[in-house]
Amino acid sequence: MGRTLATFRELIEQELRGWERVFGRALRREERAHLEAMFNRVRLYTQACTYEFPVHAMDAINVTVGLDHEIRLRAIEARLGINLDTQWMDSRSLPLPRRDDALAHPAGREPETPPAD
Amino acid sequence: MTLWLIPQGGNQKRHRLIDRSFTPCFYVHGPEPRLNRLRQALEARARVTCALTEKGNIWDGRPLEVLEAAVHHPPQYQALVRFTHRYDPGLRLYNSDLMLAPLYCWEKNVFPLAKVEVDVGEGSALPPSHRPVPGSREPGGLPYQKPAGAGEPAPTIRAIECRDDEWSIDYELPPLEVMRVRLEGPSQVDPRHGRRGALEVEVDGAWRVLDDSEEPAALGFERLLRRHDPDLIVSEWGDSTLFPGLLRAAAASGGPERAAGLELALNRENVPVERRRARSYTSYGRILFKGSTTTLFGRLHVDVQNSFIADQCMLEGLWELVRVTKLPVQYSARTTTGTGISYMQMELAYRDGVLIPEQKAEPESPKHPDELLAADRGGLVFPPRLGFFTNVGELDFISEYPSIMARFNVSPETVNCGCCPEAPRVPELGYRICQRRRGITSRVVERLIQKREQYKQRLAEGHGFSHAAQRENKIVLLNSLAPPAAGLKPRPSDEASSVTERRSNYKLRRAALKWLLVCCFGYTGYKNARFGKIEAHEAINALAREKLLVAKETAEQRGFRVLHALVDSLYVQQESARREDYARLAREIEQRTGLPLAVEALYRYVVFLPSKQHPEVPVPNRFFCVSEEGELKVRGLECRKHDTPPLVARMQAEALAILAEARDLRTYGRKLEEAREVLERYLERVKEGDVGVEELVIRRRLTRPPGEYQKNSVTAIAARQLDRAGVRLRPGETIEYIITDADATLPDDRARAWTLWEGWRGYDAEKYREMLRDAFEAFEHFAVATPLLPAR
Repeated sequence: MGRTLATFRELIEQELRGWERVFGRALRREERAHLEAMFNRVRLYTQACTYEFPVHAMDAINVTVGLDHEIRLRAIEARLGINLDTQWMDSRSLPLPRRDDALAHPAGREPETPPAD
Repeated sequence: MTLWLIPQGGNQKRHRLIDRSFTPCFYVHGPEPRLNRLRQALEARARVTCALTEKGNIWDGRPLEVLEAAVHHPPQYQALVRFTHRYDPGLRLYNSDLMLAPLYCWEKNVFPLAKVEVDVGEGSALPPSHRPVPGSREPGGLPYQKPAGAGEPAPTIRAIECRDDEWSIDYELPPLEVMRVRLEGPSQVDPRHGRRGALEVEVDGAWRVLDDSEEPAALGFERLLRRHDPDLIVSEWGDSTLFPGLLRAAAASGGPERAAGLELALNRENVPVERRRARSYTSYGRILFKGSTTTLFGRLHVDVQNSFIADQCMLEGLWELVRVTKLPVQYSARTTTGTGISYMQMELAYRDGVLIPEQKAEPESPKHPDELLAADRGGLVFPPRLGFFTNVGELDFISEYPSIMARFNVSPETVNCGCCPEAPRVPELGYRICQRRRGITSRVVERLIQKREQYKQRLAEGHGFSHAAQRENKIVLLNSLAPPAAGLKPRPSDEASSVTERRSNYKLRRAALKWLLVCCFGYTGYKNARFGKIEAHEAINALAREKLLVAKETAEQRGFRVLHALVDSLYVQQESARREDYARLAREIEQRTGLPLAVEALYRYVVFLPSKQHPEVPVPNRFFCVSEEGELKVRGLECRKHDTPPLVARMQAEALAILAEARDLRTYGRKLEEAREVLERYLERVKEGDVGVEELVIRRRLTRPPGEYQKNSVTAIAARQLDRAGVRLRPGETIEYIITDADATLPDDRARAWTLWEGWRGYDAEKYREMLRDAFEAFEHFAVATPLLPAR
């Protein structure tokens, strides 16, 4: 650890710098701040990344970002007293595309998918 | 070999004895005809007895045919080894680069500071070739009374018998006559950086000040030295400054009528004082500095400012280390504990009849990149959950890495051995561990763990958590938090009961043994370690990861929440859990992992703090907590850092002492109000200019020579100032400075090296106020409300 290979903390830092250089350049300023925040959240789970230690660090980072979103989403649900699972299990078919789809919600017409809560 | 002994009883005469029976051996392996040629060459050169013999090979345990060369004049040992290397570079040497003093101890079954019984023969004049060689002079470590000329007859030892046991925990130390020497003023500042002051000398509890007002200090010191003839001189900066300075002053003090100057009898023997040069080196990515050394013959010199172990564990720790490692006292004081571990391993190898390879590691076995990815990892660290938590238990694996080495027989020669293809595998890596031979490292750590455990038991006997013990803990803690006081480290006062003193001694000895154990693991992966093998290092790490995960799983199964885990310790929480629940959990983990685990402490509350740069990112080792007994544990705060000005450290320690009285978040809020008053008081003092400059000193380690700094950091500015003043600074040295005006346009006005600081320069009050506020910020973090934690 740290002898031949970089530590996972260093890898997160390296990946962040790499993604900031090209990917981040094409992001808007207000979006760019979140890129770093997203990578910083990965540091909460370094022990699992270290234990897994994949050949490509991004594999573990991707899983971690997804996992972190999942955890935080559940926390928000709990806070709001809602359960999005019931919404995802809704079996009604999706609305068919219309010609005026470009309009988000034309006046007087409600979206057909049920609201979030 | 020269030995120095203090007789038992009232007789104060010190004896200098010579042991002529010591014949150190080295071994050579190679084709027999070449060994025979070497044998003839060696025997023609010196008094050497050669014989072909069989000895064990450390790596596979098989016997190896070698030429044994027994050297009759130990001072020729190194020269003959060098000759062998030159004579036939193709031969492989064993036991050839060992220090003679420990080798003597192994052969005679004695150790430094041991109680021995000696059968003494007639005295005889020493031929010049028998003068002690450096590093081989003091197995007994104890000096005699009068300076002796090199040719003076010294009694010889016919037989020596040890009446002591290095593994005993109740031992008696020899009655050493101690002298303390220091320079007046702040002890931490290197006098080479321009600190001036009179010489202060302590004998029999009384300090004397020797300045040059009446007579040169060297003269006064010489007189004290002759009158008291100490066995041990404990100095501050004696290695690099005091003794070289005194020797120079003494030589120059003769005046015209005494051309040779005064002879300062630092040694008890009439030979020159041994000096070694300072050096800078890199360790774990940091540049460190090792000061020059001045070691004595016939008496001991320990420079507490140039001794890691004396700094960490005081002299009591040093004595413990010397007894178990059998290294000479002066060498032990100045070397790393890793050398001690190496010598303990070598002693076992010597006793097993196994050959000790030269300073060279076993090369790393080739690995596939995937294997390297799996193997090259350290211990697991679960970043802490940020926030304020109550009723938290800390469970610690007791000496986890050494325990793994002992319990699972992990030692360089047992990992992937050739004899056990079906041995059980190390998790994750698949390495095999030998089932037939007990590893040398495993045996060494086993003994050390055992001795530490005995000290622990002794400490626990009759000392539960009584009020007295609590008070003592608290005092110790406050001492460690407070800025280091000037002068030598505090020793137990005379009034302190012998029980307290014994307890404190046990603690220091335990700490010294802990340093040995810590090194033991590190040394398995150290490239220069004789018994090092990186696969052993990796196997230990893999086992430690496995055990920590088992511990985490067990805790979670029992309804505990893991707040933080750091390689060998876990912080777990359950709102309703009591001490016995934590103890039950510890026992269960112990059973499942096979490693000893203890409830280190139960905390009323723990505050895990985030990174300073990213307020939502947790970092390991930045927290503070208060145990049920009211004891504080602090990690990563300013008061624990070396470069914090004493003023800031003291403010934080005072605030912490107040916060330690809180029991939960509500009372914490109340105590925080009180703590804020402390901060205000300090801020006011700084603003009023009511602060002694020594309280504002910042200490930083130089990472390069002063001329090579590219930017004008305050450290660079202060280093350049010292450099201009003629101080030769090297990377790794620590310098001290005061911030005078952080925003000054002229870089030189921003800071001033402490030894060059003058009153009119003042200090930057705003900068120091900012430091105080920064240091207090840690306490405010979670005072208002705990952050929202994800539901589990």
